[in-house]
Amino acid sequence: MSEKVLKSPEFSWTARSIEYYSTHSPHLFVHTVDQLAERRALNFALDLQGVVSRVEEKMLASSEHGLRASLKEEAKRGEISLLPFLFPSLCFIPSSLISFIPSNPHLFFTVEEGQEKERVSLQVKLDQQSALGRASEESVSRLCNLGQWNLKELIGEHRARGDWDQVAGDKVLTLSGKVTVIMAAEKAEMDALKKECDGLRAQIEAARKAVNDTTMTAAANGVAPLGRVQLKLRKSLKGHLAKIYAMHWSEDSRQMVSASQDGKLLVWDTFTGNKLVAVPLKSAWVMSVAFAPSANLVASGGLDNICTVYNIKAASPKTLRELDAHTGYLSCCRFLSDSEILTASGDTTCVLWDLETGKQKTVYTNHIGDCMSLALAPDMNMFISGACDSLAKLWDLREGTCKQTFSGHTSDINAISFFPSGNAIITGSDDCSCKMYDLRSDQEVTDYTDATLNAGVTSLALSNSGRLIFAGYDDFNCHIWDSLKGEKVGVLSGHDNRVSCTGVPADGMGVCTGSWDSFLKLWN
Amino acid sequence: MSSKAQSSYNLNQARQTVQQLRLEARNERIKVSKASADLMNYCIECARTDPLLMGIPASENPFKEKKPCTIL
Repeated sequence: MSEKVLKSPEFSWTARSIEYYSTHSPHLFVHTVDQLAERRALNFALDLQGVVSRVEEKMLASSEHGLRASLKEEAKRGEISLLPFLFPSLCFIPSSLISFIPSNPHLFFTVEEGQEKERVSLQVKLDQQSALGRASEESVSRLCNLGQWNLKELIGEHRARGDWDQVAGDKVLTLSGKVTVIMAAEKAEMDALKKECDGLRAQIEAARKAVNDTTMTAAANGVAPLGRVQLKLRKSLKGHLAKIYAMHWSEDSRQMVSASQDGKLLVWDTFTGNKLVAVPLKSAWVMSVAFAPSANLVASGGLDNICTVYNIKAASPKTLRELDAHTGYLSCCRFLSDSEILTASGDTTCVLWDLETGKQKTVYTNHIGDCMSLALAPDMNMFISGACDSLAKLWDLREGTCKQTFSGHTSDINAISFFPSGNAIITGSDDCSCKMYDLRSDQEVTDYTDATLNAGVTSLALSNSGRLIFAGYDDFNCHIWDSLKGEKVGVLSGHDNRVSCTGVPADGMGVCTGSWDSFLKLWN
Repeated sequence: MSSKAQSSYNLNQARQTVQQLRLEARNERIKVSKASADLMNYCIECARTDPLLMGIPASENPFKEKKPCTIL
């Protein structure tokens, strides 16, 4: 086959997408799973020696799509032996070209003169998905020979040899990924950074130790014990048809919204037990719900990666905004007002959104694990987040920076809350413990564990004085802790499945627990 | 990712980690005894206005099931 070099199409895709091109019938397949949040329009032209064919812009959803490229008659007469693939995540400038010859699988790419100053981050791996192609280890590792290459030597063509199997009819090849070349200088920097990192961690630990002159429980020795805290079940709210994942009180301490994977949000009047509003959800995989302080709006989100805000004061619930930019599930959301909302996501970031424009105002990045929960400080200038990296972080809301990091948990932090004075935070984790961290001494001051409790903490809420911690566990109960003395003082039993959410209203008049058993229960 | 790609990604991450640690190292820290005392005092002062600690009289309990009244 004669080889025609085609101009690379310009994709704005991420590395996860895989592009296929069949030489026998020109179809371009784009796999867009997990990319709901990315730019969805695909617009490219196949330049066949001056003959241009254009694929229409299409909105893509999560599945495979065949986008037919119609070729003009002249082009069909020639042989198409090659289609270039661009690795969208390349740090190469657009002038570099990548070609692939289907009949003789070699991957060519060039590092243009002038690029040698740039940090080249290129990774090539011929993807095995669908058993289509494989780069030989030798060529790939040669390209990745650290320290012995400088970019000047890379200028020119490089091959990564590939083999492939015939696949029922068409020969197709998938390419994805990048080849990384790291300079020797970078390795030196890496070593220096690691050294500084270790030094700083030791410095912080020493500073914490220096002020660690007691523990909270020791200090609370003189405080009168609470005795057994016995709260009664006042109401069982029936209405959801599947697991309840989240609930949130309205500031009026009377209305409450709950979210269930039956695909509904329900707004309840907790005084009467009546359902006031039912909001049908586009996506049933909801993980979080929030009530705006004004009570005009509620928000929810989950595995759809989107935070949807609804106006519940309209005649029937109306979608006000769909906040769609997270690349991971939405685990938690909280309104600051009717015009701002904070979200936490499985993509490891938290985001502050402007509800009037629907755009991100601030992105808080620092966690290295899925963010599971967030809580606003009483003064609204800070917020805290808990993540699967087992860390809790304190953020300056307006500056967008992480101010403090709290470690100690040995597994995902699922729940987090401020102590009402704003000077301490409480976390609940899959490691079956809750912890209190004081912000001003920057460390853990109490650990709430019990040898008999072997279930993860899913949610938590504090009573108005901060003395009682209501923690929902996987063992179907909500256990009550004395926050000062670190002792278990009671339990709310009654659910037939995991307690997934807990909340105390602003007036402190009770506790609400929500469960996978589809019920919400009110206690006081 | 090849191990080399990991390093490149790690370099960026290392820079960010060090930058964050530099910030956090500068924080002032107060003694845990003082912090605990403040938390305790807060709890004690607010205990009287904490309905879940003090208990709620039946007549004022918003969640209590209301029994129907009969007029005799």
